[in-house]
Formats: sequence, C-alpha cells, structure tokens
Amino acid sequence: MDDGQRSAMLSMARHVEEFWQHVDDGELRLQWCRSCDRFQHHPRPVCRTCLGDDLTFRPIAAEGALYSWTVATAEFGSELVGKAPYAFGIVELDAQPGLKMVVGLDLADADRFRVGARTTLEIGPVVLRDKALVARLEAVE
Amino acid sequence: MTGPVPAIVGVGYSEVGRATGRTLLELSAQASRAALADAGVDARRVDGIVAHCFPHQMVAPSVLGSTIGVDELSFMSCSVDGPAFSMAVSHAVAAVTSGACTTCLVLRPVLRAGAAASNRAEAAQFDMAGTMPLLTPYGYVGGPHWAALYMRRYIELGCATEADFAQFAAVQRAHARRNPDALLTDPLSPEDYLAARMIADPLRLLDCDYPVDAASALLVVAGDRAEDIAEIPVYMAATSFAALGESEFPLVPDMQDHAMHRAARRLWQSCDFRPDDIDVAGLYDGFSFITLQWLEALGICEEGAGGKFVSSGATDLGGSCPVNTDGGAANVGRRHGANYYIEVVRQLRGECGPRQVRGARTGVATNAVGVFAGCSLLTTEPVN
Repeated sequence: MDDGQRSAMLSMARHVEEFWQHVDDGELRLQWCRSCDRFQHHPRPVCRTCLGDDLTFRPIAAEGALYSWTVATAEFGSELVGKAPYAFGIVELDAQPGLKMVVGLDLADADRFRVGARTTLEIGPVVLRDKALVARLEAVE
Repeated sequence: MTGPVPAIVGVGYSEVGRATGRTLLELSAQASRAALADAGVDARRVDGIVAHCFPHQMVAPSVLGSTIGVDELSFMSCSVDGPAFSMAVSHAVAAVTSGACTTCLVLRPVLRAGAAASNRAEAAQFDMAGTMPLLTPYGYVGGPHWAALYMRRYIELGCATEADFAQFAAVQRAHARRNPDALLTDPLSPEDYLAARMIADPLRLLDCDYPVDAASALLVVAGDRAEDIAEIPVYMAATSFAALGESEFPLVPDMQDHAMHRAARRLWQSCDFRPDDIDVAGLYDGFSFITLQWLEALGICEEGAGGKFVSSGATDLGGSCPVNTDGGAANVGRRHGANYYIEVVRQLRGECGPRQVRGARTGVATNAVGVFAGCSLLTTEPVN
C-alpha cells in the first residue's frame, strides 16, 4: 500500500466530517434519526436504535453537566509538544439522558472543574483545533 | 457449558524486558516452550492455539504452530479486539469445552516499542470505530486519558482518595519485592507515589502499567484429562466476558457500572462459588483504578469502598484478599492481562515461596474495564 492509498483509508467517515463542518459553521449539531426522533453521538453509519439510515444532523441545546474531567500534563506525540497543560472533559447533555460528548475545558475555569458542574457548550479553540466545543462551567456550591 | 470444565496445566513467560531485541514470534515461541515444559506436554500434542494481539503486533497462530512444531491444529484464533489476554482465554475455554480442541496454547505477545501507536497508520488500526477524529482535537490520545476520566469520577464520587491510590502503589511494590521475576523492586512509599509525575490529573505515572517486551502463555486442556497431566490442575470453574453497546471508553453509559460489572455478575451466575471463597486475586492494573473497581465489581469489597479496602491492608499478603501478589503489571511489566492468570495459578499450586498465600485454593483473574472485560474463577477444588 502506498502513502496515497494509506491516507485515503484514513480519511474521515462522512458522518464524522459532517459533525466538524457544522462546528466550523458555528453550530452544535448532532446526528439525529428522523424515524426514532433520537440523537446519537458519536455519529454512526446507521441509527443504533432502528438500524435505519434516515439520519441527519440537527441542532441540540448546548446545556448539560460535567460528567468527568482531566488536566493533561504529559505530552504524547509530536503534535502535542509544548501544548500541555490542557484540559478536557465529558459533558452529558440535558436534551437526551445519557447523551455524552468529549469537549474542551478552559484552564481559566480550573477552580470550577467538578463532576456535576452545570455547563453550556460554546464553540471556541481547543488544544489542536481552532473551532471545537468548549464547556463554560458554572461554579459548584 | 457442554463438556467438562477446562483446566490450566501449564504456565510460562518469555524473557521480559524493556528492549529484549526479540521479535514477537521469538517471544511467543519462548513462552509456549515454557508453558509446555511446565505442563510436561510435547508440542506435538497441541491441537489448539489462540492469541490476543494488538492489531499492528499480530502473531499468526498458524505461524506459531509451524514454529513450535505442532502436528495438526483443530482450532485456532487470533483476536485483536477485546479485553486483552482474557479474550484469548475466552476463546480457549469455548474451544476446549465444545470439543473443538483438547490441548490449547493461549498466548499474549506484546512489544514495548510501538505498543502505543507511533504513527497515523497504526493509530487508525486502533480506531476501529473511525471516531478518533472526534476526540484527538481535544488532545485526547486514548489510554491514559480515558483512565484519568474514569479515575477522576471514581474519586469525586467518594470511592477512593489520592491517599488510597498512594497506598495501593506501595502495597503492589511490596508484593513485587517478594517476586524474583518483578522488574521494579526498589522500595516505594506512598510519598514516592505522590511525588511521581502527573500524566493527566489525577492519573500519575505510578498509576500506569510498565511497558515491556513480553509473551505469556497458558496451556489449557479439557478438565477430565487434567489430572493425568498436572500434579495440581487449576480448574477454570467459570469464565465470563462482556462488551457494551458502546465502543468508545469515554462514552460508556456509566463509568461505575460497565462491562467489568457485567462480566463479574455473569461470573458468579455461572458457578457455585461466592466472593467469600476467593483466597487470592489477580485484578487487572493497566491503570490502578481498574483494580479498585474490580474489587467492588466482584463483591470482594463493598460498592464504593475500593479505596478504603486497599488502605485497610486487606490486599496485602496476610490480608483478607491478597491482590496482585506478583506486584501487578505496574511492577512485572505489561503482560497485558496474562500475569493475573499466571500468578493466581502459581499461588493455587503453592509455588510462590515468600509471597505464598497460605492454603490458597480458589482465586480470580480479571482483565480490562469500560467497553469490554473478562474474568475467570480459578480453583484447585475438583469441579467436574
């Protein structure tokens, strides 16, 4: 296999690429099944509830709660050299119980990093992408 | 199960080190030879070979069979997806129990160099769901990062403290210091743990296993033949496996109730043993929190009490349930699941010298966490 074939194999699936296209356009849209009226994330080639492919990307309310978080201090791989520390976490969205996504966290909010913290997702820069999802956290009492 | 409960009659390791200069095939042949010698079984009697490998570090069973001189195989498999060594164990148990083969080598070869993907092509082989492009922009690289996310939640939900993890590292090192095969044997205090480099808060360097070149092997036979082969056969009274309907570690529905907990429940459902029967445990420590979660999932300690249980001394030699008496993968190196099986077998045979758990008859060996997990109940009590 030559490099060209290899990189073709590594190209993103269309549904993964589409997620980022919406983010680049400034919108949080997740894959949604018209038949089941359900979101799924990560996006998949078929609906994991009905196995249908009547799937589209639909806006979703960007509110939720922080499920877990970390501050990465070690740098793995050349892309991350000089980038640590940086933070990311998992947010569970209010719009559909159990629907979770990995998102960036702002180290300026570090004193608010707590499991259960209320959050709103915004589109902003993260460690390796100019436009991605960043969780803005409310203080936990 | 349709046939007699299978038994482990041989265990063995290859040479092990940070850079052995050996190929995966050389290491696999060494480990196979060691397990066969331990069992006193000629390679020509082997009729099954199963291996679990990283996708870019595959050892083909047909090639290994040809290398060690098998006569003919009636079963083989090579898994690249699943809970490390226990995936191969599951295949061996299924094959031997069904009669597909009678005498099965179970392998887990791994090379330190390149065990973590070192380029995009290798990374893509690990990215079986094709979803890493949704994660890598956040600096997420896999293992240590999902481990940090599970561990953070585990701590914040009150199941363990940083001090409990420090104690866990010290206890494991104390075990390792009684094991001549351990690689890391310098004294280690809880303070040393706390001073170790942070990888991804709260995960420190000493929460991680120690990457090495190694191959490990079991020889598994149909249980009714075991007594003719081994002085003390170790019966696999139950083996269970579970994979969730979610393949991405950070996105499992519940980080406190995942594949491990399902595999543990199924283990107890499929045998007549109870958590109280466990004399010694080998609980996966690819990352330290995983061992603590297995203690809870198996019911060795109460739910939410993994940290307290370790800090109480219960997992020490002389405690109510000594855990990872070889020192765990943090100290013997990443055998990727096999060391738990091999150490528990050696304990149940009474071969462990200064680290022997006196009178140990029944133990448990476990692998993995999150999206998939597997475990086996091992005993010297005749169960057939």
